[in-house]
Amino acid sequence: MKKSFTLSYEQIRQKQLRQSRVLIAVGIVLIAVAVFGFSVFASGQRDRLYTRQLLLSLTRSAYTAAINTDDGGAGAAGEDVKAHLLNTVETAASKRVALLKNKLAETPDGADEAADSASSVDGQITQWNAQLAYVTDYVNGAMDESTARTIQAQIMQANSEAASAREKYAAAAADSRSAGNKVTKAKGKLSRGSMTQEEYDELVKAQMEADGLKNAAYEAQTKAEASLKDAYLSALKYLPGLSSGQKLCLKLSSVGWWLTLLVLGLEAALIGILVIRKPKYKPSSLLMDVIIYDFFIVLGTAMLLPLLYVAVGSVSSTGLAQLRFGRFDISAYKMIALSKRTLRTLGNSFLITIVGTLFNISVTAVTAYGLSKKDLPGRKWMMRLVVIFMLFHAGLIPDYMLVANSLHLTNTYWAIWLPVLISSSNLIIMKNFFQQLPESIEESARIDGCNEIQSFLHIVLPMSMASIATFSLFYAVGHWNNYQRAMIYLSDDKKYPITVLLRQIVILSQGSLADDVQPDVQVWAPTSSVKYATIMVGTIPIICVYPFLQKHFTKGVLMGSVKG
Amino acid sequence: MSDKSAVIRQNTPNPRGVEVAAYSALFVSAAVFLAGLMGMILGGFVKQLNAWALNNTVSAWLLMFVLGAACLAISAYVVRTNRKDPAKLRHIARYRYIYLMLIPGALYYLVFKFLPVLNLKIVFQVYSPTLQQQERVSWQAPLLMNFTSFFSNVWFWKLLRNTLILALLNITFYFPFPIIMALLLNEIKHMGFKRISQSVLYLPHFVSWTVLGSLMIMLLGPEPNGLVNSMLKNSGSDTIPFMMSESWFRPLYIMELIWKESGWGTIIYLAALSGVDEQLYEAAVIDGAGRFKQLLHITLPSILPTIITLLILRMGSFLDSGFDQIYLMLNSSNREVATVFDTYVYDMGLAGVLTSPIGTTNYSYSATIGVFRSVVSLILVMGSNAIAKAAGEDGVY
Repeated sequence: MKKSFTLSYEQIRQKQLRQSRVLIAVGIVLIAVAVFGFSVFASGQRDRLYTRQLLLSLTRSAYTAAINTDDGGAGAAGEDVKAHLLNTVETAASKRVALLKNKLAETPDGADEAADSASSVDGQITQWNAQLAYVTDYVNGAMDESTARTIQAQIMQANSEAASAREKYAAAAADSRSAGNKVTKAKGKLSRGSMTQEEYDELVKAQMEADGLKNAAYEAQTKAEASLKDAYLSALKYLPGLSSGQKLCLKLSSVGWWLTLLVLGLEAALIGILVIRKPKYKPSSLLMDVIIYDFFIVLGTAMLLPLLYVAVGSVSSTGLAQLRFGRFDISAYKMIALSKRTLRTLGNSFLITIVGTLFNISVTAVTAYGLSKKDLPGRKWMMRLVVIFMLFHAGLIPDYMLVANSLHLTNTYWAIWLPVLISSSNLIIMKNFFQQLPESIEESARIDGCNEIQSFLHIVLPMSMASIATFSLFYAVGHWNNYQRAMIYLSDDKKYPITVLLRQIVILSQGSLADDVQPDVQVWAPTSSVKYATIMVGTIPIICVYPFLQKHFTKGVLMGSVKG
Repeated sequence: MSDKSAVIRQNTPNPRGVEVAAYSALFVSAAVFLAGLMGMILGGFVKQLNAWALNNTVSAWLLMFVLGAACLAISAYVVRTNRKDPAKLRHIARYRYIYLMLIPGALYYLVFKFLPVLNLKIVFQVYSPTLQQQERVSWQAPLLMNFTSFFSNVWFWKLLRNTLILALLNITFYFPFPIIMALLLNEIKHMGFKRISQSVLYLPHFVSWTVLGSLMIMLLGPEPNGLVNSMLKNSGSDTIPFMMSESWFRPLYIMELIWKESGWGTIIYLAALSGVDEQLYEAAVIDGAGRFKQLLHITLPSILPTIITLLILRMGSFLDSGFDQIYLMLNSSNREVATVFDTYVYDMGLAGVLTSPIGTTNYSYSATIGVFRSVVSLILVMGSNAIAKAAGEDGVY
């Protein structure tokens, strides 16, 4: 029997079925690992969230300390390390308590001072209230007004309770003091013998009673102060904790791996099932498809995320600081619409882009058309020169000397447009495009009496709109995004395009580039959302051009770009 | 056919008329040429004139000399051809409208590409706009002083190292990326998905470097506005000063480049891929090649010429690391690793941020650095082109 080297259909099918079974098995294993891993992770996640909670409570106590501290500025939210605050403030607080205790201990005069210090607490209360207002402001983004009012009411109540406790204590202290005075006087009387021992003992008893009352009042006062502190603490609970965005990030960063595994497992199993159910699918081909699709989904997300982040940030009231969205807010765009400077730079960018692109495309198209004539005498030399100048440029300084010193074009838009009138690579690609057009049409036009200029305008141009559109897009993107030439050749603030403004407000206002700050530039401190909105405004116009040219796009590049 | 030749004959001038016109053009241009030459020679002797000529680098004399020489050459050529081969002249005359159309382009290349090359004479001079006029016209004492002082400067090695490292990273990490993406895009059969992914991948190209620089600060900047750092801080880790550290500069440079340009870079490969003959694939399927084998043995070889062309061109911009990108990432804490030839030339020559051996805004010195870079790039292109040709591939030119 002759042995066949080619596999029969049955054999191929059997092999594919085997492969798909393997795929299903792999898929199930992956899913199992993902589920197992996720359950392990979930228990770990609790720990992690717990740690996070601990961190938050630490932060809160730091804020509390900040509120209780004697140096007022420490209440400023956020900035420096909270532990430091906590430290200084706790020592300050314990010092004060110790002070009060000491003074109480040295009766009777100590009681006097204790009353004084109690009254000085009143001054602090106003200070605390100011700080509380600050905290409330800070919290406002995360807390609705009614909650804020409830908390404020709580604090007010605690405040008044503390105040009355202090008053009672002061009264008790006064009683105790007068009792003490009486005792002192009585001591003299007793020594002079004008008072009986019984009377004196009664006075001492009264003093001790007054002291006891005073101590009770003091305890009440400390209690009231503690409850006041609690009230503040309860207010601090409303300090923003983990925002939903933060929670999502935290979860995704750890769940992500297991989710990926799960998705991959599902995909593998699905491929296997598909192949078993329908004979027209091949496992290897399907697998490759799935991998490619996954690749582009991941890559596309990575490409889009930063832009999405800016888009979301521009309409968020907080500018996405600390990953907190706050509320929907288009005030940043309103601000831009009102900012003359932004509008002016935007207008300049439009002017530079539109006029520049028109110059570029007309000169490039005409030159490329001329060079596309195959038997044009001298064409070879011209092309050679184009390639040489494409590969060798004199450099920044000679260019600058030409534009600034010889042509005196600085601070005009000619300096932006003219030095990049033709891009050699675009010229070559466009020339190749024109070469591919059928010659016969032009030939017949010439016989009908058209010269080359006429036939270019009436025949070649309408036929090559795809190419024109594509290269217009190329040039327009270059002009819109150009930063270097604008920075070098323009010195008038009124002529700057949006890229220069963007650099000034976003990069320089970071303060990381102190050596580049120009003194004549008004540095204002825009909020994050204004920065984001400016980025959006500076990017969206040029992105909007793309869909209009997209349908010509592939065709325009495809023809003629292959051979350089 | 007779119609056509009649039209051509009708449109071409007769040889005698051409001769008269060409001779008069010859004389006029010779006069202009000589006047330009004399002016330049006289200017060389008269100090005042020389100073003026240096101040206005394209002096009237120079312009007269260049244009005169060009016209002289053209009219001499016309006269000679008219004698020897009038038919050729007629052939040229047939294209007079084309030549007319080429004038703007030619002027552009003459003024903005050729004249700056003449300005390069300052690399042999002491030219700085901040110096006194008499000082700035003088030639360097040893003529190559600018070069020698640059080569002995500490910055020379730093610049060379920084630029070369960035270029190598560029070739090894960025360059293959668009190729892989194009190959994979080509495998997508669902047209809707393909179009959407292409659009998404092209999108970052439309974002300017300025915006990208700002974006980087938004994402990687310090807390509380930097996204990554606030995430790090929220999860209890230490924050990383991405933008202010030397070690993060290079990875960021490559990541920015890949994010922004790799999608756009697929276009040219996709164009090449669309030209691949479908029959090749059909034959491969009959021979039993799977999709991966088709990719390896048909698709990849068919875009190899494009890859090589782009690789050679990339070698040309080998030392050209993208001014906008780097300048916008540059700050005082990463200057040591981020300064490349381009930004150094700008900082030294125009911005006056750095100080050269003879003071700030030293045109000669920074132009020297620019020339060094350009020449090295040119050598790299020509070398790689020669290698490609020796290996049996088509070169760029």
